[in-house]
Amino acid sequence: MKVQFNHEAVTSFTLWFDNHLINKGEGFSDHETQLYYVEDNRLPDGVFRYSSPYKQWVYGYGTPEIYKSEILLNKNDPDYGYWIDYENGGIVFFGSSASNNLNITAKYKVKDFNIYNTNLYEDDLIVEKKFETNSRFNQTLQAISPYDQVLPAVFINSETIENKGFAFGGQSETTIMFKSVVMAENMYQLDGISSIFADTHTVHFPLIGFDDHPINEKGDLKDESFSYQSKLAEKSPFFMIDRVVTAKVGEGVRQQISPSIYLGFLDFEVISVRFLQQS
Amino acid sequence: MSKDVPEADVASIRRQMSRKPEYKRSMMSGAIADFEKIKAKMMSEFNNHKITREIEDGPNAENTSGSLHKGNLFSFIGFVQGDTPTDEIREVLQTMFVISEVRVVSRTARVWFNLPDRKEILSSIWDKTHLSWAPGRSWADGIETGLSGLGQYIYSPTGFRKPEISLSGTGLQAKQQLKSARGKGNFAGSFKTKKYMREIVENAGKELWKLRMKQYPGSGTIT
Repeated sequence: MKVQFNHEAVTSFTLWFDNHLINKGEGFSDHETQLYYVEDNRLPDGVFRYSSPYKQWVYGYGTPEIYKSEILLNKNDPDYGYWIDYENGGIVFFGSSASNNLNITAKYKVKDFNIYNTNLYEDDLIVEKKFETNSRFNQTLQAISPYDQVLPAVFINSETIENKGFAFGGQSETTIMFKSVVMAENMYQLDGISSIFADTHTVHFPLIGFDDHPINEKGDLKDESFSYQSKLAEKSPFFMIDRVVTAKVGEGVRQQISPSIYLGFLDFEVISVRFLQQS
Repeated sequence: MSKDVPEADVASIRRQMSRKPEYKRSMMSGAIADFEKIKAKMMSEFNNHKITREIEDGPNAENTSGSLHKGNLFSFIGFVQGDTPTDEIREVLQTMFVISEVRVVSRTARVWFNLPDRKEILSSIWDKTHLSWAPGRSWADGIETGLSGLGQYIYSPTGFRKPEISLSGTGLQAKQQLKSARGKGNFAGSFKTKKYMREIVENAGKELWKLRMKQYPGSGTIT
């Protein structure tokens, strides 16, 4: 099946959400830590994953610096070449001299909230799903396992999509409901993210297709650099946030279902006017 | 009359007649009566809607709305026995679906009145129907846009309130117990969205638009 409108809408919304949180809310922090070797069965022989205690790393706001025994490494170094896995908060060495016992440190930015797309029901997500305990909670610096979902996080689900007539000539108004579950580590974080997104009513953002998505299948940037702000300048607005609802799970209930996590919801009604037959 | 008198003349006669106070009164009372009929139809649509009826049937209702696999909406949303959540919506419809400034426009020989603001009515409904466990979120809105089943975990007798399931403050660690509870009793699983308040208010709004275009019969003498 070729890429459909809903695929691109989800990609576009998630990119906008991620960037808005980082850009408007400065929702990230700088870190300088050791990277730890972790086994990764999904990788072929001869490549080695080193993970940080934090994920996801921020892309598009400076490039992480990787040091081997305090010497800055180049990504294309023939001996210690590597790619960055922003999503999983680490790097993967593919250079000829790479091994599993290197002394690696890194300087990088970490998102305050990891962003995940999900199709799980909220109750499944909140009650049934078990999440990786992030180092931010237990304060012990150790590598985060690759591919695990880590809190604090926002889980975005495009729940419904509906078209209705907008203008003569076949133009329709498409309404997409994005429902997000916020899992924060404290009240400050939860109030912060709720406030940032409550103010996004009438904000526009562009349609960004799969081809324009900055991250490749390895989790690294497709190009040398990426700037969402440049994308905004290049592309016309296509979606508009028509309604935002923010809600927090009350304290009594929170104590019952997740005493260590502060739960909130961000619901977005996103509209777009388009010709259905041309998509 | 239309057989014998040209259309242009009929329009002209109407315009002249609509300047007469008795004809104005007759037009306005006709329009108000029509509005009341539309409102009554809307209230009836709300009262007889499958969602309204299922919720009003309380915690032992059957899922006649077809929105769940099992259980019922009352428990799924997280209401507790004695709650009458639809009353709030009924009150909003009664108090906000009103017309004011009714007057006759002589130029068009039609009755003009200001339409109730449908967006404002819906917004008020969302404000009055917050979920008790997540203030800010509306269950009435959720009927159309998607509802979380978290309420049933919190308020259901088989959920956290049941002592053997609730591990008092362990929350996510109660996963296994909840999983086993989920397959039993009233745990409903996924929710299927249904048309509800948006459609009811929109339908009534469309009828009002038609009413603005209506021309009323009247009698009188043109001098």
